Amino acid sequence: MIPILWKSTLRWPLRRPWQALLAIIGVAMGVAVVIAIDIANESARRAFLASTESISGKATDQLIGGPEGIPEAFFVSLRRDAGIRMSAPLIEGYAITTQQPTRTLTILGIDPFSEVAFRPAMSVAGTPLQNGMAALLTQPDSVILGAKTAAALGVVPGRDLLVRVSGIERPMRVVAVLNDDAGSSSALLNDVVLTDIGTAQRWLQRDGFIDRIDVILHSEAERAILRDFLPTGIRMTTPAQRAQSTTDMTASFEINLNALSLLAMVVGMFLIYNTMTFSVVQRRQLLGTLRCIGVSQREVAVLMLVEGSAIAIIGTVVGLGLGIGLAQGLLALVARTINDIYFVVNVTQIHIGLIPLLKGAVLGIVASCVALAIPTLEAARTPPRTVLRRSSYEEQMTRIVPYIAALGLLGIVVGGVVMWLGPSIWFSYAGLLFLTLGAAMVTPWTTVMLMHALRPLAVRFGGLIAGMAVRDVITSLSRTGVAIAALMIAVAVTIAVGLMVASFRVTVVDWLTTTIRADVFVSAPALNANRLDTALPAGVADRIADLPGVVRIRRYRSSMLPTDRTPVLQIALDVTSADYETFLWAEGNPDQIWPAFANDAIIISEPLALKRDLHVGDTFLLQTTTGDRLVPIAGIFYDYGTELGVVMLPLDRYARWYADDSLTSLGVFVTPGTDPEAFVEAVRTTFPNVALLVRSNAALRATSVEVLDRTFAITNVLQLLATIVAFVGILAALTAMQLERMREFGMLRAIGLDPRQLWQLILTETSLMGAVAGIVAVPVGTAMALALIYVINRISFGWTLQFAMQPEIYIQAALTAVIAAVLAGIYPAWRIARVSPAVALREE
Amino acid sequence: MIPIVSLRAVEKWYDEGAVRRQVLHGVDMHIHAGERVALVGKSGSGKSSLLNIISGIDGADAGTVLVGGHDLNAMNETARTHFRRTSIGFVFQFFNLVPTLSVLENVLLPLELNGIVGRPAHDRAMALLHDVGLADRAGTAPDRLSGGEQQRVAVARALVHQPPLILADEPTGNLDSDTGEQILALLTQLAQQRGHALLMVTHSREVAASADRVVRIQAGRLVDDDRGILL
Ligand SMILES: Nc1ncnc2c1ncn2[C@@H]1O[C@H](COP(=O)(O)OP(=O)(O)O)[C@@H](O)[C@H]1O
Ligand SMILES: [Mg+2]
Repeated sequence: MIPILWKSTLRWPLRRPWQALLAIIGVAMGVAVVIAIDIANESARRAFLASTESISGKATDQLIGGPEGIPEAFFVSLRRDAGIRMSAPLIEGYAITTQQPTRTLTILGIDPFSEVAFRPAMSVAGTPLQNGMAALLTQPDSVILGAKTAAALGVVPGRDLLVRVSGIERPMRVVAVLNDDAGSSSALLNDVVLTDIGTAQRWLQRDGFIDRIDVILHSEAERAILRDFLPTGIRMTTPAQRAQSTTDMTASFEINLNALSLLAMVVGMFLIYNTMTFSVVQRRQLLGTLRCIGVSQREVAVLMLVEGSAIAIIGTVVGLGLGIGLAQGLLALVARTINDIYFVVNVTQIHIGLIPLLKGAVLGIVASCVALAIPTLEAARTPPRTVLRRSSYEEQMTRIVPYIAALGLLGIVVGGVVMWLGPSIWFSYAGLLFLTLGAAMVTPWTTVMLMHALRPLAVRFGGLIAGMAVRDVITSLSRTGVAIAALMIAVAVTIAVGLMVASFRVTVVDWLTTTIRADVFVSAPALNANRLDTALPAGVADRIADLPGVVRIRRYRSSMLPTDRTPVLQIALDVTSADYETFLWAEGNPDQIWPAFANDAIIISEPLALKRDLHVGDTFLLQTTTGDRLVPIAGIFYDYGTELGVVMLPLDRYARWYADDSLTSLGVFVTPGTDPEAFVEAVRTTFPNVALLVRSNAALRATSVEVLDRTFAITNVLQLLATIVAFVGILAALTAMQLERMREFGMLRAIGLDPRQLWQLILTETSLMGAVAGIVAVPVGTAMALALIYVINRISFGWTLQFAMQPEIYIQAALTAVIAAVLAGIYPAWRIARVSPAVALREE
Repeated sequence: MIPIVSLRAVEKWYDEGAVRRQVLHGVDMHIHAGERVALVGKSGSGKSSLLNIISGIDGADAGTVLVGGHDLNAMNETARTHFRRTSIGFVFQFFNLVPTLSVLENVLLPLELNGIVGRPAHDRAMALLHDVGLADRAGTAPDRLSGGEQQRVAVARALVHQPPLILADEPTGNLDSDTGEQILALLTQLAQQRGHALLMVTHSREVAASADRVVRIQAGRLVDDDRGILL
C-alpha cells in the first residue's frame, strides 16, 4: 500500500501527464545526445582499431619508412642478411567502388608466401582462400573478398568488380570469396580486398616500394638485433602504437562534440528545472494544505525528490534508448568527418559499450538532481497555507529578483575569469557553464526592468489589455521568469553556435583567398579532398611547366609525418619572394623568417605551436629518412587546414633529408588573360592516360569550403536537437502557465472581456516573454560565442578565428524566440476563449 | 483547570512593502477543554490572523501563546508542525481538500500522519464519513462534490485524529447561508459529542448562539468576552 501522503503528491504528475512527459523528454534528449555522440565516436574508433588489428594479425612489431614507404629491396635483405624469417611485407591503399552508393575498400597487398605465420586463417589448406592464394599469384588483377563484403557488393568468384584506384577505373577479378564459416578470416576481410603485393604496387603506382613490414619477434634480444640492423629512415613500432597515434588525431574533434553534447544536457537540465519549479509553484496550495495539517518540511522535500527522481530515472532510461537510435544516425556524419579530415575508416554499425551508457545514466541522474535541488527547497519551504497570499509570494519574488541578478552577475564574472585563467579545456567549459547560469539568473530582473519600461508604451498603443499583459508578466514572475530564462538560454545557444560557425567560415574563406593564389592546381587523385599525400607520376611537373601560358609553377610534397605524439602534416614547397604574401604570421618577423627558412629552419602552423607550446627560436624534431634532426623554428603561420599541425620546409631540403624527389601537387600560375578552366582542360588532354586531379583556383576553394561545411553538419544537427528540446519545453511551460490561470480568465470573461480580447491578452503576454528572451539572448549569445571562438576553439583546436558579426543570426534567433512564444500562446488562448466564464470560475 | 488555549498580550504586525501595520493589539484569550467558542468580527478585523497564531501556522510578534500546554513561541518550525499534526483539526474557508486524493483518503491522511494506518484507521475514517453523511461517497474525487459536501469532508478530516482543538475559519465562505449553517451546526454537534474544544469564525447569529461563548474582535482588539451576547 502506498501511504496516502505519497499518493497526494505523486498523483499530481499523473493528473498533468504531459507536464511530467515534458520533463522526461528534457532528461531523455540530454542523455540521448550525450551517449549518441559517445557511441558514435567509440564505434568509429573501434571499427578502425578492429580493422588495423585484423590486418596486422599476429605481428608483434612493424617496420615503417618515410613518406615514400620502404624500398622493396630492404625486405629481401631483412630476410637474407638479418635472418628475420618471420616477416611479411604489406602495402595498403584504397579503392572506391563505381556502383552507387560507393563503398571504400581497403586494398591489402600481401606476399602470399609470407602470410602463413601472420594471418593463419588465410592459409588453411583446401579452403577457398588457399586456392585463391594460388590464383593471386598466377592471375592478373585478381583479388579475394570476404563473404560479407562480396554479398554487399553483389559479386561472386569469377566475376569482375569495377573500382577506381588512384583515380583510374579498373576491374578487379574476384578469384575467391571467403565463406562465413571460414570464421575469423571472413571478419578479417571486412571491406578489404586482398591481392598480391605486385598487383597492389601497380594499381597504387608504388612500384618498388612497400608500406610496412610486419614482423614477429620472440624476445627482446631479437628486437635489439633487428634494431641494430635497421638503416636510418626505417623505424620500428608496434601495431598498437601506430593505431593509437592515428586515433589520437581525432581527440580535439571528439572533445568538441562532447562539449556540444554537454550543452544539450544543460538545455535539458533547464527543462527539468523549469518543469519542476512549475509543478512546485502550481502545487503551492496543495503543499500549503499539507503543511497545515502537519506534514513537515522534510517530508515535503522527500516527496518532491521522489517524484523528481522518478522523472529523472524514466527520462534517463528513455534517453538511453533514444541515444542508441540517434547514435546510428550520427555515426554516418561522424565517420564522414573522420574520413574527410583524419583517416579512412569504414563503419556502418554502432557498437554499444557499457561505459557510454553508464556515463549517460550517471550524467542524466546527476543533472536532474542538480536541477531538482532548488525547486525541492522551494517546495519544502512552502509555508502552511493562508500565511502567504499569492500576491505577497510574487511580491517577495520581485523583492529577491535583484539579489538573484546580482548573484548571476557574479556568476558571469566568475565564469569569465575561470575561462580566461583556467589552464585546461575543462576550466573553459566550467566557465561557460557559470556564464550561462549567471545569465539565466539575471534574466528575471531584466524582465522586470524591460516590462516597467514598456508598460507606458503598451498602454498608449495597445490599450488597457496590452497594459494588462505587460503587468501580468511581472505579477507572475515566479512562473514567467523561469520560462523566459529557459527560452533565453536556448536562443543564446543558437546564436553562439551560429556565430561560431559563421566566424569559422569567414576566417577559413579569407585564409583560402590568401593562401590559394595559383590559378590551377594539379594533384594525384586522393581518397579525400583534404588528403593530398599521394605522389604524382614522375615527369608531370616538367611537362606542365612547358605548356603554353604557364608563368611559373609552385611545387609541393605533402606527407603525414609521424612524431612522438600525433602525426603532423609536413609540406615541402617552393617559396619565392612572390609567395611571401600567402603567409600570415602569428609569430616571427618575415624579414628574418625567410632567410632562416632558406637556410636551415622550418616554419610551423599556429595549432602545432599552441598544442606543443613552441615559439620562434625553439626546435622541432623531424624524423627524416636520413636520421632524426632538431630543426629551428623560424616562424609560426596561421593555418586552418588541419588542427593536427603543419610543418613546412623548402622542397630541395626535403628531397635531401628524405631522399625523395617526388611531388604531390602543383600550383600553376598562368599568364593574365588565360582562362583557368580552359587551362584545366589543356592539362587533362596533355595527360590522357594519367589520373590527375586538376582544379581551378575557384574549384579548389569551393571544395575546401564544402569539406568545412560537412564538418559542421554534426554541429548543426546537435544545435537543432537542442533547439527542438528547448522549443518543446517553452511551449509546454507557457501553455501550463496560461491554463493554470483559467479562473482568472474566467473572471475576466465574466466582467466582460470577449474571447477576441482574451486572445489578444494571452498572445501579447507570451510574445512579450518571447521578445524579452530574444533581447537578453543577444548579448548572452554573443558572449557565449566569444567564449567559444576565442577561448574554447583556441584551446581545443589552436585556431585564432576572426569574429564574424552576422546580423541575420541575431534576427533569426530573435524571431525563433518570438515565434516559439506566440505558438505557445495559441493553444491556451484557444482553450480559454472557448470555455464559458461560469465553467472557468468553477474550476479548481 | 488549565485552559487549552491561553493567549496573553498577543500582538501581530504585517509588513506591507515599506510600512508595518499592526493587526492584533494585545489579545488575551482563554479556551477550556471541550469549550465551543464563536469568533465574530468584520472582515479584516484579524480573525484569521488570530487563528493562524493559535495553530502555530504563524508566529506572534509579542505576547505568549500557550496551546495544549505548549509555548508556541518557543517552538521551532518542526516542533510546530508536529504540534499541528497531533493537536489541531482544521476547517478552512476554501480549498480544504487535497484534490489528488479521494474523499476517504483525505480523511485518512491525518491518521496516517499520526501513525495510525490499516484497519483501525479505515474504520475510524469511515465512521466519521458516516457521521457527516458521506459514507457512500468515500471513493469519489473531491472536485466531484458540491461545496457543502466538500466542507463536510473537511469536518470529518478535522475530527478524525481526535485533536483536542478544532479551528474553523469561516467554513461557510462559499456556501449559501443554509448550507453554511448546517456545516457549522454539524461541527458544533460533533465537537460536543466528542469533547473537542472548538474555535470557529462565523457570521451567523444562530450558529454563534449555539456556542458556549461568543468572542468579538474589532480592529485587532477583543472587545467582548461574554457568554451569550449576540451580534
Ligand atoms: N499575509 C498578510 N500580509 C499582509 N497583511 C495581511 C496578511 N494577512 C492578513 N493581513 C491583513 O491583516 C488584517 C487582518 O486580516 P485577517 O486576519 O485575514 O482578517 P479576517 O480574517 O478577520 O478577515 C487585514 O487588514 C489583512 O489585510
Ligand atoms: Mg479571514
